[in-house]
Amino acid sequence: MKIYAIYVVRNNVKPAKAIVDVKDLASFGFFQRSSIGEFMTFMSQTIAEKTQPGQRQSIEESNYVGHVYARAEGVAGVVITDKEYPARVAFSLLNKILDEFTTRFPNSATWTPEACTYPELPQYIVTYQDPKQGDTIMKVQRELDETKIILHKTIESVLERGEKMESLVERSDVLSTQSKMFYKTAKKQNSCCVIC
Amino acid sequence: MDRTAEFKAAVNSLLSRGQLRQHNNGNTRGSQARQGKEALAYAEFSRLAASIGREIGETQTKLDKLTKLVKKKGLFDDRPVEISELTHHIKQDLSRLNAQTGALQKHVRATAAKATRATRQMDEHSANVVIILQSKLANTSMGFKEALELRTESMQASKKRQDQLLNPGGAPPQQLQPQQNSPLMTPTSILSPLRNNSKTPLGLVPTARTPTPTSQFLHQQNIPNGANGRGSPYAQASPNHYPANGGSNGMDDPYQASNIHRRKGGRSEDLHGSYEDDSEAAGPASMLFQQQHYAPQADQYIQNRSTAIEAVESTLQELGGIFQQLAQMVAEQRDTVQRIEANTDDIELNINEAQNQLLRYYRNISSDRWLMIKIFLTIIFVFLVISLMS
Repeated sequence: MKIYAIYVVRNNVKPAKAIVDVKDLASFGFFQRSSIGEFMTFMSQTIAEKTQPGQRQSIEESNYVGHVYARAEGVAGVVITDKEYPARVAFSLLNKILDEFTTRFPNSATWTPEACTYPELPQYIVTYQDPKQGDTIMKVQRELDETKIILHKTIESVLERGEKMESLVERSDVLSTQSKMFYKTAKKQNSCCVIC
Repeated sequence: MDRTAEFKAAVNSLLSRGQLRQHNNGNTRGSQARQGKEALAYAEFSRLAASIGREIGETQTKLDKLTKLVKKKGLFDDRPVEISELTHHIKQDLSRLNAQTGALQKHVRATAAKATRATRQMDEHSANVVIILQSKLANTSMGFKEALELRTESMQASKKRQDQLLNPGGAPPQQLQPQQNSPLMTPTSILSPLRNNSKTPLGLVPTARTPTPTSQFLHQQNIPNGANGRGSPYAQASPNHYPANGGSNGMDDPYQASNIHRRKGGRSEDLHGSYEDDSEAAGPASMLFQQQHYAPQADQYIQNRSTAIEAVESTLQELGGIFQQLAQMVAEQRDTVQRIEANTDDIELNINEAQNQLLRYYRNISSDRWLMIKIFLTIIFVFLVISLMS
């Protein structure tokens, strides 16, 4: 499950133009990287053009999937992943990125690659490579699962504790009886038991 | 156009005039007067029959037009407004014609009651004319019913084709239904009187609500249509058609209303709150179809989110249950702990007492004067024994 690229594309002009992007093509061979990068840029621009504002789409193409989400301000975010990456995580990532982008650069005139700097984008692509790390819901789910495992172990420990308590009870019963016998013997010793 | 009844009426009037002339030639004045009255009545009857026949012909033309409209197979250019208007007119005409034929039949029966030998032929003829008119009316209403059934089928086919065109992933139409349910739940005021007219030949609107009422409706509608359908061509058939056709007029309007609501519902269900920044302007039909295509996509995203969150919620619930089990087990072990505590207290008590006893005993042993005397006497006794022995 990998993310290959994240693009923020401006789609209120035709042809659509990418504003910022980040790519992680380390899994491809060195000589293929540039062509694959260009292909991804082209694909993201195409599908950003074809998406209506306010819509989400997932387009499958050879062995990539492009998730696109278009905002009404005329900007769209595209995430290109492989086929196994869960779409929900991709769309939540897109939501986050587009929110930050629109709050940071609300003026549509400033949407040029030079003027918009978005340094967190490479960070995002790294953190979201593992969808379980990046996505909040999946993080919560994972922690809950771990907690559940810990709780199972705790319950087993409590069962063992119960068994040990049972044995303790028996032992203390025996000890109590023995101490009573000891006391009686001592008392008997002390009474007038005359030797001869 | 069908003008047989007119022709028959014309023939009748000619015949009656011929009869009058014949009778006028050889009868008395009384019979003349009677004949005149009967001829008048018969002329009245023939006029009524002619008018009824003419109206049936007009209704038949309207029905032909309706059938042609229904048979048009375009995906985008069926005109529900015209069709509903035509349906309305045809229904009104059918009811009026039914009333008129009923009145005519009563009239015929009334005149047949005072049948005389001479007028018997005329009465039989009038009865036959009435029967013919009724059969024509029944045919027209059956054609109307067929046209409505055709319309239902074509609407269903077009809807299926729309779904196929706009859901290339092969999603079944049922996916649209949960989404249609929520926007379609709002125009219940439009649709609920329709549901009360339970015998609707168009199954389309019930299909759009929920699957289970659909089966009920189709079941209900199939039975009366099947029972009435091809059997009796007489007047009994036509009143039964009217409740079946009664709901159909309002059908097309709610279909339009449901289109509009589906469009709005598709937009509003699109995104969750913070991202809803689309304008509510109603677009052209292309927007409608695109939203019908995109809305399932956004719907799927939202559904995925909701399933994930539900999984989290269920995990939390399980965790809560596990904690409760834990607490219960620890509580059960509490009384065991108390037993152990009681036992150890007993042990301590006993041992302390025993120690006291032993201390007293040791004190007795170590400092008793009577014991020393006893030992001394024992030693003396032993010496005495030894000295006595030696």
